[in-house]
Parts: sequence; structure tokens; C-alpha cells
Amino acid sequence: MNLHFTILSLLLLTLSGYPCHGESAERIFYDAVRAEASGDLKLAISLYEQLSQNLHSANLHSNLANLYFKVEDYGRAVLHFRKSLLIDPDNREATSNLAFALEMSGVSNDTIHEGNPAFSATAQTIWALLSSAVLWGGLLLFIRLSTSNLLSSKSISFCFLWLGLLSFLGWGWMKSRNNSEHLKREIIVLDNQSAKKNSSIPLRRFAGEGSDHNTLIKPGTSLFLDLDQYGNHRVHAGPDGTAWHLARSHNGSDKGWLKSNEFAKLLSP
Amino acid sequence: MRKNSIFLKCMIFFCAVPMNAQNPELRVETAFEPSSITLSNNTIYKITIYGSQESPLGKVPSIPGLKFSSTPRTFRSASFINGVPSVRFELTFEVQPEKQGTFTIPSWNLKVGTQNCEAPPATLQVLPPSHRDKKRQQEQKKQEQDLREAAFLELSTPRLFMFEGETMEGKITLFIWNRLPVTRIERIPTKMGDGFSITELGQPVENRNIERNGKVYNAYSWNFGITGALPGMQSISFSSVLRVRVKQSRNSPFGSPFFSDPFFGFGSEEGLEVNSDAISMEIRPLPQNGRPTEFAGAIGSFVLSSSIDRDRVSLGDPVRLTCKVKGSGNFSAIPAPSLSLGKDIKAGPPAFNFEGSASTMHLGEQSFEYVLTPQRPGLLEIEPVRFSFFDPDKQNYQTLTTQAHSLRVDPGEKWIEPVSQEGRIDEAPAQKSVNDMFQTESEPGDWLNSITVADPLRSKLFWLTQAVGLFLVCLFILVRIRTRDPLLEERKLKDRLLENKIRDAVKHGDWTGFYKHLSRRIRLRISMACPDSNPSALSSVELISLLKKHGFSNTVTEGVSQLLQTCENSEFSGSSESSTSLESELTHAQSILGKLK
Repeated sequence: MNLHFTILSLLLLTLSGYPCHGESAERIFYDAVRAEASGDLKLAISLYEQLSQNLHSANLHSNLANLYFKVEDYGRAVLHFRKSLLIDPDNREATSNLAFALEMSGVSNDTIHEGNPAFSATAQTIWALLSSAVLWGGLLLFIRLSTSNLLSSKSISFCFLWLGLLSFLGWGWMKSRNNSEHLKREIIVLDNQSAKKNSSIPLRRFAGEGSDHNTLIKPGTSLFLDLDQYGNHRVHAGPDGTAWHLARSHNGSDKGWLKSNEFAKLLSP
Repeated sequence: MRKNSIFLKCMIFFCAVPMNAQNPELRVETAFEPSSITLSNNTIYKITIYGSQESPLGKVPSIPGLKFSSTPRTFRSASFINGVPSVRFELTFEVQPEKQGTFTIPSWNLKVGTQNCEAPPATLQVLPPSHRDKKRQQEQKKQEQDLREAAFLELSTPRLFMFEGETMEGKITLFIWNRLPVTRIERIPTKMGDGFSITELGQPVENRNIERNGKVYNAYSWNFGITGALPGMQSISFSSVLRVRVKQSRNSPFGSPFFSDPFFGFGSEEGLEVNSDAISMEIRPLPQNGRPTEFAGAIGSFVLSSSIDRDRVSLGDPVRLTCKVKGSGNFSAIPAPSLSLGKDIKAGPPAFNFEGSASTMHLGEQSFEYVLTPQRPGLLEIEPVRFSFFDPDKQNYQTLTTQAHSLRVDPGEKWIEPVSQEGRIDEAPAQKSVNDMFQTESEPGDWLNSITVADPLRSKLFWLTQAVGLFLVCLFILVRIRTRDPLLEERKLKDRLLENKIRDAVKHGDWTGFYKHLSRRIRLRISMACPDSNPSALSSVELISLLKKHGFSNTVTEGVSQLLQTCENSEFSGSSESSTSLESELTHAQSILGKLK
């Protein structure tokens, strides 16, 4: 009896350690919605943030972005609209809200590099599966035709067609994969919670607080973390333990060091 | 110093290790080889020392009219004559006669090791040049003249004297005969002579079809600024190198590839050095008399002007004073005129700007821009600017003065702290209303554990697809290998060949060939349809019964029987042509053969 009680207690204790799952996650979401409705925006934000530590949904990030927008934290508003659109790219409302948030924060829409949706990061799986299907399907057809003596001079045309299609699909896959790698490095510059709201963030020349800056970046701007020769992010640890990251704009015109609390990654680590 | 005074000491530096077995009895012989030459030829003065291989020390007596080469050649030898070792050392000088007559080198002393020896006298007879020699000399001179005229440099300067520090505009022109196969100018003209400095030569000006010496030339001209650097009589010339295509001729009479063919030719490229005649110029020092105190090295002919950008400013505002020196002279060496402005106006360092012939820096306008800052309010006066220079044409010093400029300075206004750039960026307002712009969702939607982009290379589905594909391909290949029948493959190959032959026969209207190959193909098809039989050995009747035995329908057997009959008729009677065309026969046969499976 005691053993059963102990197991049951441990199980309950374990489950209580994961409040963001299942019904508890939805409960927190509803609490946040109610807090927002009652005008307690800070509480609503903290609840959504607590929830977004472990779980994500398009509506969660969209609501959180709205709240940040209302408290005029445009950098975080842009970040969460982008996250919402990553989960649900067809959300028109989030798209228009993102455009408005960018306008309010004074960031050009051009800083968001979207490119052709056919080669977007999310299309990578489709390209990969299509490439595989054409590769193996073509090989099987080739073997079948050679078995049934149907392979003739037309086989050369078939080979060229097959290779051309395969090359195109492979190129599309690689392009989509490049966009995916790019997205993994994308960050959004955030307001560093200084006295002045939405003040520009300096891109320093060197990884140090006292360093002169190359340029000033507005919160909400999209940047990309630089990679070193081994493909890792270029990080420098300061004497006080602050991690400094080297980032640059999409066209490479703006480049400098940022503290880890001055930006957030779009994708989960 | 004459070259025929050769010290044989120099031989010590390039002599080899002498042999140890020295003959104590040394013998020295000298001779001219040949001992009689014409004036245009050279001879060899040879000194042979028997009994030693050591380099001698001594001095060949200088003979007026004979020119000895500065680098003698040496030769050592050792041999056994009747079992007795013999060593020898030879030293040879090339000798060029300068006049005709008989020349005798008297006996002279030389030291070999520790022993002193005497070189015997030698006599050379130099005869007057023969008719052949004269002709050869004339040809050589003509070719040298031709070569000089093929490409040459011409230097021109405005006058043959200049003053120390003066800059003139010079011109160097490279004339290239239009028949000379020049591939490129390897080295543009370079100055020879330390008494002058010149500006860098830029791009040349090209002029075509210029006649000189009865030839047509292409001329390339460079203008440059030439400045006298050292006083006294100085010489200046120019040298350039052209790349010229030449024929490779080993029989060149003078060892120069350019002489081998007067019209040159196609072959390898050689460098042809082209020199200008040297010009001697006098560089005179500047006179000390009448030199103004403002003179700072400007030599030429100039006009001076000055201006200010505004005549009324507030206290602290800058005013630009521009002095312009226009004319011709040594602009590159002219310093900015010094200003005497007093305490009321403060001047910054001037900015230089030259507009004119940048390559020679000789003709143009040099402007000096000063930034003046008035130090007190009121009506101030900018003092005239004085500029002195030496005029080389008038050969005296001149001093120019600009007019004074009045400047009204108002009291300054109160300083207002400017709004910082960063602040202005941050405060860029967005005037749009945000009310009701966003809709809050009341439902959370589908939950995700993370926002990541799916990587197909880490997806199980992707690798499962690859595995299935690979498995199917392997399976197909295995099945293909297992079910492969070599006999059937061979028959299929034969069938394809026969089909091609039949089509060829149709193409060429060959009735006999058509039926011959059709008959063979029918039998082959029957052998494929009835694997246990050998149809090539069977008659038509037996083949039909074989088909019936294997269960083929009457339509097929009758069709095959008809085809075989037609083929046999064609083969034995020779009357193959029928009223139908070969194409229709082929179509009919194909339809029946298609059923023989």
C-alpha cells in the first residue's frame, strides 16, 4: 500500500513539473487571454512567455506579438510575428500585423529576406522527397525497359530528360536547404530594456561594452549570425561572462558585435 | 685607361689548382696567330708557358695601334711524351689593330711561381684593308645606319639653358619605321643624366605616316616637365627598348639578329635598344641680386589673384580665402604664399589644388585655399597676399600683390546644443493609430514542441524512402540477372537484326532480300515460341504442324503458312514482285509475327 502511494506521489510530482503540457498549457493560455482582456498586459505577457518556453503555436506567438506591440516593444513584436508566420505561413492577419509592426519600429520591410516561397526553408522536405521519387523511379523504369527490350534509341532522350529533371530537383533542394541554413542563423534585434524605449542597438566594432560602434540597428531588424571557419557561430565571451555574437545584415552592409540579450533567434535552438 | 695594359694578376682569381709535378725548366713562347692580317681583321696574341700550369704574373707591354682584349682566355694541358710528363699553360688575348704597319711586342718579363721568365718578342704585320674588307666594312656601316634609322628617339626642349629649379616642358618622340616588325614598346623612354629630374611619362600621343630620311615612320610623343637639378653643363639623353620579331640566323655576319635580314621577319622576339642623341644644357644658378624676401622658389611666368567666399560672417564662422597662381612654371615646387593677417584673423593650413597639365605640372593654375576664422567682431581687413617668382625669360625677379579684402564680422549668436543623430532616429514617430489593429486569438491552436525547420536528412521518412527505392532497384537487378536466358537473349538479338534487314530491304525495294530475311525471321520466331524445336531444319508443312501442336490458333497457322509459301515462291521461282507494295507486305507480316509469342 505504501509502495503504491509512493509511486502515485512521485508520478503526480513529476507531472506537476511540466505545467505546460496538455490541459495545463491551454489553461495558462486562457489565463493569459483573460489577463489581457482585463487590461493586465504584463501578466498576460509573462504567462505567454512562460508557455512559449516549452510549447509553440501560431496563435500563442501572434497574441504575444500583439501584446508586445501594445506595450511598444516593437522588436519583440516583430520576433513573435515572425515566429507565428513560421508556424502558419498563410496567416494573413499576422502578415499584415508584422508589416505594421515593422513600420512602427522604423525598420524597412526589405530587411526580411523571404525570397521565392517555392524555395523556402519549409519546402525542403518536398524537394527532397520529389528528388528521391524521381531518382529511384527513373532507375526502376530504366531497369524495367531494359528487361522488356523496350529500350531503344529513345532511351538516350529518356536519360537526358531524367537527368535534367533530377538536376532541377537537386538544385531546388539545395536552394531550399541554403535558405533553411540561413533561417537557422537569423536573429531579431530586441530592445535592450534601457530607459529609452526602442532605442537603437549599436553593432560594436569589437566585442566589448566600451567599443565604438559601426552602425545603429533598430529593434525588430533582422540580422544573421556570422559563422567561423568550422561552421559554428562566432561567439566571444567577455570578462564578465557576457556572450558577444558577431552578426551582419542580409546584404552584409551592417556588421558588428551584439550581446546575447540584445537579440533572439527565430528558430528554437 | 687603355685596355691593352693588362695585369696578369687578375689571372690568379680564375686559375685552377696547378699541377704539383712542375718542370723546373720553364720555357715561354709568344706569337701572333696569324702574324699577318689586314686592318679590318683581328688576331690572337698567344703566350705559352711550358713546364708549369701556374698562372703567371706580369704585364703585356702596351703597343700604340694595337688594342688588346681585357679578358684573356686560358688553357692548361698535361701529357706524357715518351714516358716523360709535360705540362703547359696558354694565355691568349684578342688583338684588334687600329692602324696598318708592323708592330713588335718587345721581350718582357713575367713571373711564374717563384721563377722569373722572359717572354720573347713577337711581331705582327697589319696590311692595308683588302677590297673585300672595305666592302664588308661598307656593308656593316650601311646596316648600322639602317638600324639607327629604323627606330630612333628625338629629344626637344624649348631652349638649351635653364635655371636651377626651373621647370620647362620637354618632348621625347620615338620614331619607328613602319616596316619594322615591332610587337611592343618594352620600355618607354627613360632619362639618362643626373643633372635633371623629369615628371613621369604618361600615355604617348601617336602620329602616323611621318616622313624622315626617306622612310615613313610612326611617331610616339611624350611631353614631360624637365627641371634643372644641378648647376653647370649637364647632358641628357633618353633610351628605350622595343620588342622586335627577328629571324634566327646563325650565319649572322655580325652576331646581331637585326643584321641577318634587312626586312627582319617572323621568328623569335629580340629587344632593340633605341637611344636619343645627348643634349648638353647649361643649368644656371639663380641670381642672388634683387632676390625678394618673399621668394620661395617659384620660377616661371605667373599671374596672381585672390578672392573670399563671403564678405560678411558671424563671429566664429569660417571664411575661405583662395589665392590663384596662373601661368607656366615649376608648379610642383611652388609653396603656398605666406599670409600676414595679424591677431584679428586666424588662418589654417592651406589646401592645394592644381588644374592644368597634370603630367608635366608646367602649365595651369595652382590654387591655395585658406580657411580664415575671424577672432573679433567688426570690420576687418584681409591683408594683400604677396607672391615672388623668378622670370627666366626676363631673367629677373618679380613680385605680385593681390588686393586687400574687407570682411564684416557680426557678433556670434548663443550656442544651441544640436539634436543628436541617434536621438532623431529613435524619435521617428509613427502617426498611425494602433487601436483595433490586432485581433487576439482566444484559442491556442495546435501545439508544437519547437519551431524548427524540418531537415529531410534527419527525417526517418526520407531515409525509409531511400531504403525502399534502393531495395526495389536491387530487387529488380537481381530478378533480371536470375531470369536472364542467354539463348533467348541471343535469339532476341538475331530477331532485332533481321527486323532491321527487312526494313532495309523495304527501303531499297529489294523483294528477294525481303522474303529471304522474312523467312528466316518466321523460323526464328517459331523457335522462340516453341523452344524445344529446331525450325531451321523443318519444312513449311512441319512448321505449321508444330505450331498447331503448340496450340496456336488457325488464324496464326494459316497466316504463317501463307507467309512461308510466299517466301518459298520468291526463293525458288524468282517471281517475287506482286501487286502489293513491300510496306503493306511488311505490315501484314508484322501482324502475324506479333502473334507468334
